[in-house]
Amino acid sequence: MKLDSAQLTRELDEARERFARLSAAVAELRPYRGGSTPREAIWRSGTAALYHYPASAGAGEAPPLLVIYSLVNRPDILDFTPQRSVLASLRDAGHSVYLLDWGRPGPGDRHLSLDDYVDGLLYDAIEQIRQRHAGAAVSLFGVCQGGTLALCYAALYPEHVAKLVTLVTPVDFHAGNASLYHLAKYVDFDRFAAAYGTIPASVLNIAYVGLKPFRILSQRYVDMLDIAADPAALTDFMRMEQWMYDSPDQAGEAFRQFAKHFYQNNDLIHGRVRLAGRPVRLDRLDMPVLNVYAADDHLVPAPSALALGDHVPKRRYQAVEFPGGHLAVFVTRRAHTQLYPMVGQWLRGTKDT
Amino acid sequence: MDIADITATLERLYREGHKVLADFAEFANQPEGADSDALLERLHQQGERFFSDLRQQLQDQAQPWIAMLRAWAQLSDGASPAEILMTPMTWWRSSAEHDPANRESPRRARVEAVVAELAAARDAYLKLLQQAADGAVERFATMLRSPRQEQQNARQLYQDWLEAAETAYEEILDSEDFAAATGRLTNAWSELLLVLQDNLDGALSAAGLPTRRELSETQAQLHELRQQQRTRERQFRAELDALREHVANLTTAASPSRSRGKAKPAGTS
Repeated sequence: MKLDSAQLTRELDEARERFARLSAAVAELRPYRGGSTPREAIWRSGTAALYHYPASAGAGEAPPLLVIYSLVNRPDILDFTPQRSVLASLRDAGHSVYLLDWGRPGPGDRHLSLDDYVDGLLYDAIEQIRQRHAGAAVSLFGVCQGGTLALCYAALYPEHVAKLVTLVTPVDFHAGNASLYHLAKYVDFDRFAAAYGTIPASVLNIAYVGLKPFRILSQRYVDMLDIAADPAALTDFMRMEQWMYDSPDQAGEAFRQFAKHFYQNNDLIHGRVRLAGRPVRLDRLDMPVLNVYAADDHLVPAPSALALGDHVPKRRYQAVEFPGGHLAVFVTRRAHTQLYPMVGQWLRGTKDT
Repeated sequence: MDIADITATLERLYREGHKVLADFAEFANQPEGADSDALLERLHQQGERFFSDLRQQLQDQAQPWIAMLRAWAQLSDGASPAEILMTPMTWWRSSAEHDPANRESPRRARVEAVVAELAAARDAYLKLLQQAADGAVERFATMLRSPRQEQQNARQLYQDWLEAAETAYEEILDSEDFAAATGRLTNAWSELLLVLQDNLDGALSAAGLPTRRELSETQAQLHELRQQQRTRERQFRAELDALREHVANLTTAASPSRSRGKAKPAGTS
């Protein structure tokens, strides 16, 4: 094939011009300072904080809803923009919404274990909510790794949980194209955690970027040139960019346990995870469970999430597929016009699937 | 998210954007009459440069630590605190290098074993990445030679290149060899850090300063105290709830007679 050098040069000039325009535009943007949905911190413990997003007036009698996010990223993605806010969508569906923000572990938190997260911080946060709601059971909305932690909690204390929603949540860590398991397979996490203490976010980001380096480091920036003249799209791009690399460090012990027992040994589906001195048994999840997974998720493959259906009582379990990848469930228009209204209705008991 | 975060984001955006533009230029800056073979050759060369730079970068990253460890390992076990503490600043000193007894010391042998494993693990990892890069160029060449590939649009060419690169990379990524190489490299880094920390702790201890291990033990004790406090708070809360329930039961049990008493004031029998 012969190449038309004149045309190629024209294209390169145009790309450079767009990049210059884009650089000028982003320099004018103001820093993004977190979510826009009004909230109030009602409890703090160590690095964690519990936020309340009050329901709109006349919301009704739905149980309070606690949103539990992953340890490996910040929950800001759940309140991405006023138009695309998972937390606002759930609140607008009539729930008194709470968010457990795990915070940012520092060097002194290296010994925090999964017991501390699930049977400590999560347990105490749920107690706080129950006290505010006359001892009522709380509905849980677990996101990604937060969904796995929510499953553990619900299996240990089913009497505290009214309903459970898991969103893009890994359950069978070896199912599907399990890239993260594959990368973790031969790592000695005992030595890894001993060497690092608190696991730097930068080390984990290398692993995540390493799963899709061309899409994340090249394709994203090529596509970025197409939005040079669209300020709204550019603002969203920058927010996503900030969020992607704004990961907290990880408490070494909890990270070691999760990597070893959940990823390497796949202990959750085999009933071998032990927390609070007891085995975590998914067959104890007798509350209604809604499992939302993304069809093309490269971090949590659909079969990994869908495995939940094989381990919980079938009677009150439902699964819903959402088109797109891992982030599609947070930021796409479709998620906010279709998925969250449906989840809200399911939580209020007015919709079966 | 503060101003420092957005500055870092902007820096990354400019850096990655420029990198993409430079990549893009590889496709767009074709001499008059050039054909796709010339482009493929340039991509091959670019890949070789990239991996040579990456190897150097990984070597440079570990080099200060390795130099420090080697210097420490040269000291005999009876070295004074001052000698140990000053060692990191005297990497160039090679007096003990030629001492056969010292070369065979267990400490030095451990350091050399860790360094050798890190180098071998790094080379095995890079070899697989190099295979992915070669596979990407081969795939791209096939795409260029396919009959449907007639367009000469730089953006399309670049998209095709990214697709070829991603597919070739994913083939390697999914292989058992890559999982083993990633584990080996990660484990080798962990060992280097652990040996470094052992040595650093030795130096700190010799100088009478708190070591990393002692700090970690203190943190563990603090953590245990917090757990104990949490358990006691929970026990206390449970006892309080039980007590409240007991009081409520007593109140309920007592209330009918009290209400009967109220209904029948004293002295009205």
